[in-house]
Amino acid sequence: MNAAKYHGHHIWRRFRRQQLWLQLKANKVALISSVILLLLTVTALLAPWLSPFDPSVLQQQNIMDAELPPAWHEQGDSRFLLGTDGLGRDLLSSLLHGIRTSLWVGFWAVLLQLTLGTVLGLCAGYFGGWMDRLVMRLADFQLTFSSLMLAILVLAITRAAMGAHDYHVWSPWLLILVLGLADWPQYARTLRASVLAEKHKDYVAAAQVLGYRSRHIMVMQILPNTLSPLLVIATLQVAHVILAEAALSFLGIGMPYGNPSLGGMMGSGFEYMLSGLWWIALMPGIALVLLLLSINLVADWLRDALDPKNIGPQQ
Amino acid sequence: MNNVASVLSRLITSALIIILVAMVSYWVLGLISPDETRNLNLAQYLLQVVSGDLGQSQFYHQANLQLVLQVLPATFELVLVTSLLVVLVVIPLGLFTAIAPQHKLARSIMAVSLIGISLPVFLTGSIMVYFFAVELNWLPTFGRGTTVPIGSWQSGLLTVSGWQHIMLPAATLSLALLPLFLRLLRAELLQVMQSNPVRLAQAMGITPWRIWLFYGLRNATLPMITMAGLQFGTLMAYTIVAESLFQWPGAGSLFMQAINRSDGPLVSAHLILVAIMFLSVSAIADLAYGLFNPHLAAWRRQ
Repeated sequence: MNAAKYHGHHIWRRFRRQQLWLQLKANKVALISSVILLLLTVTALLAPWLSPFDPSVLQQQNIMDAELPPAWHEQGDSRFLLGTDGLGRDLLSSLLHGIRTSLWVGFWAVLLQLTLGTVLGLCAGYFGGWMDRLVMRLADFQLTFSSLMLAILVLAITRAAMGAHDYHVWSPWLLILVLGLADWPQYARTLRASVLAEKHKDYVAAAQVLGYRSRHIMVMQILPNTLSPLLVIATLQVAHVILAEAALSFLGIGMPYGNPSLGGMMGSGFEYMLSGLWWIALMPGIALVLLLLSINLVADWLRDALDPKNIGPQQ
Repeated sequence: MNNVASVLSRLITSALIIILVAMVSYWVLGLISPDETRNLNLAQYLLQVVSGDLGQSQFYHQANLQLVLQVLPATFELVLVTSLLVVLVVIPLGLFTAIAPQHKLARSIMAVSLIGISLPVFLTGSIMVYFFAVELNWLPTFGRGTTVPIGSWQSGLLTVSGWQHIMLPAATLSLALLPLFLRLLRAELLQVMQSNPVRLAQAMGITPWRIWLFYGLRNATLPMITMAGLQFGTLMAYTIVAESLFQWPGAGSLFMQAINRSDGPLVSAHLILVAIMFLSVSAIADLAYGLFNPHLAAWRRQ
């Protein structure tokens, strides 16, 4: 217990002394975007407690409150800070739950991608031969076909086969599965390249001579030396997955209608936009862009900060 | 001789891929409409596909191939106008931001392009609809407008209303692709401008415009073609989103309708056609690559 506490403290002290923290302090854009990202994540995690209404409770909806503009607008209502949608649901509450959905899908799908890409990339790089050729061929194919297109086809076909009602029982899990299985090539390619560069170094030869198994050498010896590019790709991929989820939900083949998701909210808000009610579609749009932009900027900074070329005394 | 062999091997792999996709689409057909596969086994289905018969739609009671060919001009024109817009905007902006990277305007263009990467297609589409259609009431928001037949091709590019209708969807789609290509072109141009041939040309006193266009742009075409080929899948996905946003009567809308109606034969026909489209695009990209790549051209001449 005490040791764990000491260890945690130790890691925090090391982090503060490290370049990563100093570089974050020096880079204003990165600092602001990571603060925004942190805020969005915390509000999303606390959405059930922070949001004024629960979007899934029908009793809290009143059709009389429908289509109210944001509170700062003349006809706005102070109970609904960002206004209400066509059914009288509070937009702020749906928004917070929507960000939560986005981050949830992003996290699990990227975890799946990372695992699959790491295993395939390590094996392709370490064993070479036919396995390398097969994995890289598959990666090329998958990259050209694009994960979004694959997800559209797979999810749309599943929906047509199961019917809309049954489909939406499974769709959150299917979404994670498809987006998680579709986007592994970037990790695999990067990891393979690093493994090829690492595997002829002396420490790997030493481990081989000492009789360690291939699995041990791959995971315990080579992988730790190739982690930073993987971290950058994973961060970028969170944004990519969130964007894909929003697009799929917008098309009606992603999150079910009851579950608040940013893409689904924009999809149903688009009709209202045609009659001049801009906030129903625009508010989730702004939240989505804020989320994606902050993740992309943090990933950009992470790439520069972890690049070995940039480590060393800064001018 | 070498050429013939490579073309042959390419044709054989393409045929194998199409047969593989046809097997998948048979399976999909059975999943969505089990009645359709009851009196049709896999071999019969494959024979039909090879002979060019992609079955009949359950909803329209028309041949699937004919249905898709009817809506394909709409999608093709949308993609054509989008690509033209991208090229027309990306070349001047790319040249400018590469020639004067420190200029204030160039820096703000690059900053905006960074935001542009994080902008989803349906958001830019919605915002443009709100401004240009709802607030200003300048442009229509759905459909293709009046079309004129050229043979069996229904073209919307010959009428004023057709151009009005295509503006918003094409602008939305090209905004989604612009940031990517702009960043690529700028990076390539910056690299080319540092290279020895360009420095030599500058030292020889060749006019800057000539250098930019004939040394810079020409050398940056190759990676752009590669990128365009690689992005084809994404373009297709974005086209489906844009088509359903603007109710554009193209192949993407037809596919989404087929999904919503559980029209198995039409969905499985789409799968095969998507595969054929992918194979042709990758063949075209390789051909263009060979045309523009001096190394490959030199290797051919030997």
